[in-house]
Amino acid sequence: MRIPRFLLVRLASIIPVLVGVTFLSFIVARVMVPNAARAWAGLITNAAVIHQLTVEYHLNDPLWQQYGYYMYDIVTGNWGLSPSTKLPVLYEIENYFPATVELVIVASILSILFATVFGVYAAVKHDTKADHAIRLTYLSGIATPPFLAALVASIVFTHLIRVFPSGGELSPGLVAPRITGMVILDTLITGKFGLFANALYHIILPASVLAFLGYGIGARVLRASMIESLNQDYIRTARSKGLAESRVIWSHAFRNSLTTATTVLALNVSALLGGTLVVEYIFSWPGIGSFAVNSILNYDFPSVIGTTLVYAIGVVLANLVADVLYTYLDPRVRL
Amino acid sequence: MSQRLRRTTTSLMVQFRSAFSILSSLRTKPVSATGAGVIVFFYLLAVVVLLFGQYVLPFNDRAIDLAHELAPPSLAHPFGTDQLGSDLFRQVVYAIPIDMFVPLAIVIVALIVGALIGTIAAFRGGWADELLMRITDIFRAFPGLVLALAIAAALGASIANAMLALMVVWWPAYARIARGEALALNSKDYVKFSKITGVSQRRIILTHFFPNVTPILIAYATADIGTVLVLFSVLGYLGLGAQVPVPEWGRIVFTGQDFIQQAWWYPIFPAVTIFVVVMGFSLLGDGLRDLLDPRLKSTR
Amino acid sequence: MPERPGGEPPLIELRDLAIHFSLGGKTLKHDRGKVVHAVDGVSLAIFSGETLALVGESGSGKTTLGLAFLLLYRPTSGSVLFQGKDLWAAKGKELKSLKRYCQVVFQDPSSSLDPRMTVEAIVTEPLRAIGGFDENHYISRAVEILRLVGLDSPDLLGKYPHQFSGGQKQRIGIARAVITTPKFVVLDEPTSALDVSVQAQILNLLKAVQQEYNLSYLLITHNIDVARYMSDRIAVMYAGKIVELSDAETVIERSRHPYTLGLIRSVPELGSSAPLQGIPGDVTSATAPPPGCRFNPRCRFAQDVCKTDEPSLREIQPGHWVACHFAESVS
Repeated sequence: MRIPRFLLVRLASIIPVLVGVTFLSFIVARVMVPNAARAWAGLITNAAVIHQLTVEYHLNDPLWQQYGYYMYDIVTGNWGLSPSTKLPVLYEIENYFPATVELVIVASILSILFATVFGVYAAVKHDTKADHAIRLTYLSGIATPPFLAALVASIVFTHLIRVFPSGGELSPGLVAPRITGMVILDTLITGKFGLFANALYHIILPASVLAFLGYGIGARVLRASMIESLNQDYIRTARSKGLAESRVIWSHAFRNSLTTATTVLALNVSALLGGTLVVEYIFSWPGIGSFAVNSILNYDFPSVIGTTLVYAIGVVLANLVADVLYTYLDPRVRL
Repeated sequence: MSQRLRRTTTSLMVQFRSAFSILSSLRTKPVSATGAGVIVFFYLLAVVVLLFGQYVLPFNDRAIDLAHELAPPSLAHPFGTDQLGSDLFRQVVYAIPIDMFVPLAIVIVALIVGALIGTIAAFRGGWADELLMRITDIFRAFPGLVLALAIAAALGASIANAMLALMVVWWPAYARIARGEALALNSKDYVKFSKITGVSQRRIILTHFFPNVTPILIAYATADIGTVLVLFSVLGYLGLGAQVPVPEWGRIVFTGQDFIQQAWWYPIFPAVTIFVVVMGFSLLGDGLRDLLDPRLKSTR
Repeated sequence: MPERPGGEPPLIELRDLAIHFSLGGKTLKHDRGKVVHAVDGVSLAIFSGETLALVGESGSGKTTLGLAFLLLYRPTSGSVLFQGKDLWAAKGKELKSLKRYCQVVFQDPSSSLDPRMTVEAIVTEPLRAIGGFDENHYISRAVEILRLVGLDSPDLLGKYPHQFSGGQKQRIGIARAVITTPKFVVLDEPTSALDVSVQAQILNLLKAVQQEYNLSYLLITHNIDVARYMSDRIAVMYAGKIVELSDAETVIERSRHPYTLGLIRSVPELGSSAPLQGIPGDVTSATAPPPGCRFNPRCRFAQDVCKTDEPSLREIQPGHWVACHFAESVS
């Protein structure tokens, strides 16, 4: 399949951003830190380790050289050693990564659903009580500190009304086959439907909390965009031609707002990823979010830097996908 | 010199007057007005606590009362007590100044720095502008919380460092907005006139740019203070912001969540307080944005 | 290019000016990389005290050309000379001191005045840019200028643009353009955005101000009647080039360029119900002008040579310049 030229260009354009991302992480990891060797050595350390790291990371070299070594390390997969677990940071991230991907995908689907339904409905019922009520709900989603949403959901749905489990990917004692690392996918592929149900049962609550925290951004933009679309002249024409209201809303106005929606999707992913930290931690979800939080609590600086990098890469890739989608959806850009 | 001073003060007074007129037109949006009310209330409280803390509040000694550990909310202890029997309502109230003023300070600094850099980049054009766009792109690749955490972790846990971390994370967004507005202004006839007449770039920025763009920036900033508060409290929650014994809502939540089984009120009340304040900012900001954002105006 | 009979040098002139914009960035994909020839090889001189009208339709490049006099666009080639001095070569203080002599009045009074500035600030801005005066001087000069343009109320200075009508705002625009006693003012469609009843007032005001300060005007307009009323000479522009230049009466009564003729005949005349004759075809593409004479696809006098050779501006009679191979036979 011939890859269209614009796609190649777009793919190439993420490289400078990724380079910039590694540069910023370098600044944080080596320059901002008062004592880089000590930070990378961890809490419990001695002079020998500090000296070894100073040599290994070229910490006494001029900055540009340091950055060169740092870049090389990143690209070759040497993301440092976690002082608390003594394991390579990248190895740990690879372990925890799939769980977060899974969670974010489910949360994104829910978030898009909420945003679409609420955003469109609010736009259609513009300036009515329903509109105001909806605005209150999605604004409160954004306004809620993540630990509040997670704790409340936890209390209500796992203690008061014992509907959902309090944490983890699967009930204790259960093990899923590991192919992609994403439990939902793995159990589905291998046909273990009992485990699949169990996994679903576990993912619903954290994903819903994540979605609740983030859907507001999308809903707000979609609502504004739909209001603008619905006021356009061609909508009035469609209505006067006697077109059914639902067709007017969905086939015409919404389609035009779709491009805005995809940009919002990208924004959403960034917000969702930010939310994973606290949500995963409180729900004991074994993803990089809780890994990051635990690293912070354990003063495990290398791991913190590693997860920061992964998050940034994730956002860049998500934006890429959104951009490509946008190009396909907007004929003006394509032709 | 005094005449220039008089001119600047009159223009400032005009800005204030227009700000008041905007705020009073919020009366037409009762929801936003409620938000404004909440915010004002909390800031007044913050000032009061800051100045008169120990005299005004009845629960003024950090009494450790082991007989009443983790007591549920009551008249004597509206938010209950913590694991040492110390009153939680008092702790939450004492945290008001920090949680109200720190995010405000962060946003103000980020706004000023961002606006300056964004405007200058837009007017310089060329490589300065390109560089700014690349920088903002790089910053936007990191989820705000993640980057702030990394920076705060690197610098060391303290309120000052948390503030610094958040300022660093926040300014690119304002730089981008300011740049966008500056570019739009560049094509306005009155800016063209100033350029033709030979007005210096510095003067154009001061007399044309700032009065026209500040309202928009402030509209965005208002809702932003709430978001920054959320992040600041998460930083506190994770131990990277305020340190014990400095009271901060996020920190109280973290300590409290260990006791959530037997004393759910412990983490929930401070968390709800955060929610109420942030909600106030959101409603206010949403209302302001409706009023000042030209894009939405046509749909009224 | 022409000198006045009498040998007087021009006040301000363009020599072989070309302004090309390359499209990039925010343009639609299929337009990217193309070059817009807004102005192509134009030489034009304006003398002190005269009004030269630059007439053309949208897309002709007249606004670009007019504002090029004021250094708003960097020329791709050619030069702008004020009293013989190359303006793009001048720097710093010298440039600033020359800039005060060249001013502009824009088309739309609603968007040409900063809505957040007081009338006093707007009008004194050019004066303050020169600097060196004390506050009272600025204010007294502002009052004086505003009185000149017919605005006289007491608390005028503290008001804001939105408190005035379109005509009044345009007067303010004129006031700020002449407060520095310039020598040359570009009028970019000064009445197009105004109600017809107000237009005459503004035009007359402009004439009066011109008398008062012995100004030169470059009047950019698409309205032939306005051009005829205001100007000494008229230059007709099409697709980035000047196609006809002469004194006003000649251009209107005895035009020798097919495009000018078409323009004049397409304007409805009060009292006559003669059918209007439009010019067939579309305005030429800015990025891909046709080879040869740019007007040839729409010209009813076009011959083969018009499709290959671009006619240059030639003086078919003293003071009457036309860019057409068959200017003599056109009428």
